[in-house]
Amino acid sequence: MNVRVDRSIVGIELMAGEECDAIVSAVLEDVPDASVVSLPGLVQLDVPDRMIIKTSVVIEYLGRDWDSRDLNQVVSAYRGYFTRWDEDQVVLSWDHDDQGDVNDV
Amino acid sequence: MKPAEQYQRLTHSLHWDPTYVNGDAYIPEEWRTACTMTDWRKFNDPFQILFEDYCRIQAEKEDKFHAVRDAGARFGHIARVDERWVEGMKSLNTGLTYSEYYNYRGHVRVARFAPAPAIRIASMVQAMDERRHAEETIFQARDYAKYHKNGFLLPRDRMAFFERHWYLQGGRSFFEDLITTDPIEAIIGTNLVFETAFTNLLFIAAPAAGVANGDFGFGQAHLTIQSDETRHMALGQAVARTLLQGDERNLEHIQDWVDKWFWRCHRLLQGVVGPALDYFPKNKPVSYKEAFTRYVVEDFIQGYVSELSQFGLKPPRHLDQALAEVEHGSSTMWRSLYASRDALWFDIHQPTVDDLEWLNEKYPLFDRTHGDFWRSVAAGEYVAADTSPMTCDVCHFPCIFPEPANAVALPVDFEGIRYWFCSEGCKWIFERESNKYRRTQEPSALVLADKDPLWVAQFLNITPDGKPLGGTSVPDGYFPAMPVPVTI
Repeated sequence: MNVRVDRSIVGIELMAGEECDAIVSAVLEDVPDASVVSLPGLVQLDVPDRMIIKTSVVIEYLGRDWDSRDLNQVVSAYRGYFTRWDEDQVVLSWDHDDQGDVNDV
Repeated sequence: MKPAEQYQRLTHSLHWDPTYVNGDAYIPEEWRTACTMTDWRKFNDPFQILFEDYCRIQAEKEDKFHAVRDAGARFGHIARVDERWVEGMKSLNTGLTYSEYYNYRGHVRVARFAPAPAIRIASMVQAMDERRHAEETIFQARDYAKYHKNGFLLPRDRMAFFERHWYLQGGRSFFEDLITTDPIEAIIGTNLVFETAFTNLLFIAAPAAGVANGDFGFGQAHLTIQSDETRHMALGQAVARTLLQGDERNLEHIQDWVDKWFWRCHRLLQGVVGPALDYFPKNKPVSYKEAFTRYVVEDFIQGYVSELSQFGLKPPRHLDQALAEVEHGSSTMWRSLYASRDALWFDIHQPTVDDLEWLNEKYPLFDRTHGDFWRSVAAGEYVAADTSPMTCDVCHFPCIFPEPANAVALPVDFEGIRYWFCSEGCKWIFERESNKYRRTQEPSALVLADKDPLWVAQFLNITPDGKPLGGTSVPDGYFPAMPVPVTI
């Protein structure tokens, strides 16, 4: 729990479809009780404190290559700060210095 | 070359300090930011987008949007969009086209006058985004005109409405204000307040409503528009955080701008997006209040503002008033539109039994403040405004809030003229920068008093029974004779 914010939830809202499904599955692997809400055309994915999207896991679910820069194609909104966005991980956190999972690259 | 090096070349290597002219000539005082930072070159945009990636990603977004349009034309989706939604688009799409275009102009200006190289490049990219958004709305207008039986507006009508009709002056004045500010105010107003908190209501909640009523083109367009906003949001958050952290003198400015743009956004979105979520859609997946709670209260106030409170930032000055208004503000707006429906170019319907049931469920105050009105309309009472609504001298929406039986109208006398405001928020904005807003006397106050109804209809570019006139026809005696500059 990040004490600096009144409500320590991070999340993304994605255009529904294949990439969205793979990203949601990849996050659910880490956070099984993540909140997944479907609206017409989009999916809202929220987790407590921090969200780490691992490129390799998304690729596994998608069954094809995927570039983490392409997250910008499907993410329409977010809550939290993007504190890391490179080829291995995208990290969304309220802790401004959060570098994600540093042991796992 | 590594991405980090490419990014350095795109931003810092492209920046230079002028030597042939002095700083005043390079950035005139009027357009220089009041914020301070020891070295603006140290600021970095968190997205650090490279031009090559930008072009590739944006081209794919465009391909997907046009694929949905094509499918809509090929398989007949556009013809089947719910009629009520298309009527809503006649207002929302029209306002949006020019709003996006104004924002494009605003960001070109930030790209020119912002002090940090990274902000300048990010704003240049953002300007291209906004231009793309404006064009997507034009493609959609064309699709409705071509494939939907309700028809749509001609381009010249669209522009005339945005320039003159009272309902769109809220949007026009908002964007004219936004694109004539301090460059960092433009970033705080647009990227931090408007795009982090409020455009989600327009580009996430409204597309869900569009899709629920068969408008897949609108859904696709707006979700891809908001995917650009994620970049803009990150820039706004980084600018606010860096400036608040770097120099405590910036707090006063940033707080003022957050307060001002929070209220301006609340007024604009409630007035324009409120009806698009709560009234136009037959199938309503999310209410304005629910979307406001999620994106503005939970994400913006309880998230970003509370995170930045460690640097002294406080919640917006008029937050409580906004929260109280949202309890029935979209209904207040709809009722005002209904009363002046003869002077509108889109249909305003009487809520059906299903609509009323939904409104009562989502808005516990609805029946108390609006129930009797719709019951008397249902009983056959004729309701029509015989005058154009009195509008606020800052936001240019009618002075009808928080609800018609209890409407606020606050006067301020400034240099011999009495100005009127719909709320504490708008009055406060005027008092901060009276010289800016004194210049914007708008149609309803100036023009509509003592005028023949035929003349008023012509001014609003409609026939007396509410149909668009086609073309821009200027009634005699509106524009004072003025010389045309030779450059035009």
